[in-house]
Amino acid sequence: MHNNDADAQAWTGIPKEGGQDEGGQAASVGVGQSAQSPSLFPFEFRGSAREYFKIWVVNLALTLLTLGIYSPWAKVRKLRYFYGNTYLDGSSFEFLGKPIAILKGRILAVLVFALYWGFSNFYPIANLVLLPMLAILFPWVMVKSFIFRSRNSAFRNITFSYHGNYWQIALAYLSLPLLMVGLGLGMLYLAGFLPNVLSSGPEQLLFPEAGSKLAIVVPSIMLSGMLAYPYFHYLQKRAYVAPRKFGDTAFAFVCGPKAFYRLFLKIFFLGVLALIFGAVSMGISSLFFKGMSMGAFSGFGFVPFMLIFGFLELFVFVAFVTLLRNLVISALQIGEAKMSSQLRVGKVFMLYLTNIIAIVCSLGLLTPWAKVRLTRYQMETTSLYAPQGTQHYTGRPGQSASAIGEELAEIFDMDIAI
Amino acid sequence: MIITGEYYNGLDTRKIPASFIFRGNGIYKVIWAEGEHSGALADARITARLGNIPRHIHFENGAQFTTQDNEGIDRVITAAGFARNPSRIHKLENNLSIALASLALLAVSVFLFFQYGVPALAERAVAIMPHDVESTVATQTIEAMDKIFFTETTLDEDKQHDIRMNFNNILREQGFEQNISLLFRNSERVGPNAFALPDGNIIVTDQLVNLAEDNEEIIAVLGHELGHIVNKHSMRRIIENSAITLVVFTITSDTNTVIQAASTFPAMLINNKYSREYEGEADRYGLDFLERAGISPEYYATILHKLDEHAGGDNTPSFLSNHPATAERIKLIEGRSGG
Repeated sequence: MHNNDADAQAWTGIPKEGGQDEGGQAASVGVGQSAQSPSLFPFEFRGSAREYFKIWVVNLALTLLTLGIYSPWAKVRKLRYFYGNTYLDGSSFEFLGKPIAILKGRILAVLVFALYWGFSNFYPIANLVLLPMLAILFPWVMVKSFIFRSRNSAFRNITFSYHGNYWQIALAYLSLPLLMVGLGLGMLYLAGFLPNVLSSGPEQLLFPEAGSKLAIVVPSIMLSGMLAYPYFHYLQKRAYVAPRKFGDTAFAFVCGPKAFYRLFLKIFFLGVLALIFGAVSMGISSLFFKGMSMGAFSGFGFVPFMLIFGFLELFVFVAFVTLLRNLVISALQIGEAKMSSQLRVGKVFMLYLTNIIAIVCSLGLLTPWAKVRLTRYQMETTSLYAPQGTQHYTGRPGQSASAIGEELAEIFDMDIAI
Repeated sequence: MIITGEYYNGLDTRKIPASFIFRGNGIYKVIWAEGEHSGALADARITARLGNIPRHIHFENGAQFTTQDNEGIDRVITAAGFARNPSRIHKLENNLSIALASLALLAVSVFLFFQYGVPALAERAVAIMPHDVESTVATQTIEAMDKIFFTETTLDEDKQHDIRMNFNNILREQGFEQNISLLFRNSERVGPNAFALPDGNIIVTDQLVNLAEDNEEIIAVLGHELGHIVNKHSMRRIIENSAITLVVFTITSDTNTVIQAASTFPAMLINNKYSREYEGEADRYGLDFLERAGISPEYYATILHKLDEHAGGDNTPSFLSNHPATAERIKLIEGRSGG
């Protein structure tokens, strides 16, 4: 049925896992069998907090002693640690990135950032040129960083690759903001207000005469933006995930915009519930804390409110990222194999909460522990359903990639992940 | 030396059990059920040891050998006599005393950085900062505050003039060169307070003027604000905030944004420490200022006391607050007047 498999067996005499082969061959050599059903492969994270703590602290100290020059080496070691401890079907992933490539990228990124920072701080007018330039550059940076990461990720000596292009990213990330700005200007123009704004600056919008018109324009743009956003978020994730390959095998993103609308609706209701809950508990507690005047905010009075709202905000945030991760990963297919992520919101929330408390109380020292336990839970709940096993993927040696995109993305905080 | 592991040909994901053999003559050999490969070890790339992650030997033909036997690979490296041992960083990372020493180094550096480095850095930066930047920041601040907090002053012209004259005379007597102007603003929400802007303007609320019984009390507060201006506290604060954010984000860079944001809470404590130092510095400047003007420091004590009463007693512990506790400040004043 599958030529690849037949060739593979003829060559090594090792039967494919899963025992689909007719008449198992006598020369069978024990291949790492998965513990569960032969076609469901759970991911596994074998790193330990104790071990990673030492790696983390020594690399931080080396970075400090070398005044930051060592930082690309530290970054590579951390990435290698997390890739190398992530196992699927008994084999670990590998990060192949070279520190020198990262150092080059980092130096360039720092230069660009310093220029940007200097101009935007000392010549604020330059922002008129710089911000659009950054926006134009953004998709390119993203594509470059995705290429770098995927080419440097390997499993069983086969590398990943990213084939997305500038326009896919631009459509997903830039078209909605552009559309909204255009819509806003258009509506202001129709309302006969644009000339004022252009001649005397956006402060015009703060004057009361603008109020009545803005009362219609702003909410309607915001509303249409909100309604369109889940679709664009879907495009963003699709542009991130779909144009990938593992060796010769293409990824597929089996999910439509509908699932994203459902997710955002859920989060919206959760947010509303959290607000109501927060307001009610604030009302109740203000009965116990005397006076809600400014006086209360200068002392300790505001702390309970901040805690309640911080707590609720964290919960809504965690629900969002957790459900999003489940949605995106579970929509992922690699050839005929399907990924699945089954994170539970309550569990992730407790992990985040305890991680934050631990990090804050330890003045940052428990950061490695926090990262290891979150990764472990994420991996435990991720699995690959591969009816044909994990041995038949093919590939060819990849080329190296520049790290400039990755480093620019990092320094400008253009963080995209699942 | 024989190491067991797997062979990956680089063309597909078959996991092929294999043995890696090295006899010390510079030539390695990998053997698996159906084949073998050999070559010079110098042409192969052995990954650096890291924790307990598997070791890979990348061969020149694109294939690789992978093993969990880190010790075995290290013995091969020793036997091959490589000039650079790819496990040298691991030796540091795996050593508990080096980890503890690193920890101590980090703790000491962070402490020294915040205690001496940041203030020194801020002072340097402030010294070379163009005046334009200060006035831009000041203009933006006053514009924002006018929008959010303030309405026009309700004080009558005479009272304003009286305070201005009084203050300007003292400045002139002391040979003060920088141009300092007083801006009167009304705000019930802000209450009795005064703010120093980096360009040398001082905002005084109507509520403060009304709370003070004598002009001397207002002058005492203005002396304190003058201390902030002379020592360029607001610009230093901007620089210090950036430094704190930088350190917090470096330490927590492994985690995500939410955790990083939460970690700025302890950073707020450091920030407040600087703030309290500023207030102390401004207090001392203000008291010197009063002394030179021949005004008793008692006035400063009485206005602080009134402000304290107005706030309904400040219960915030010192480390959470950006102002020193009033009791501490009044003690400072008494120390002055006693001496």
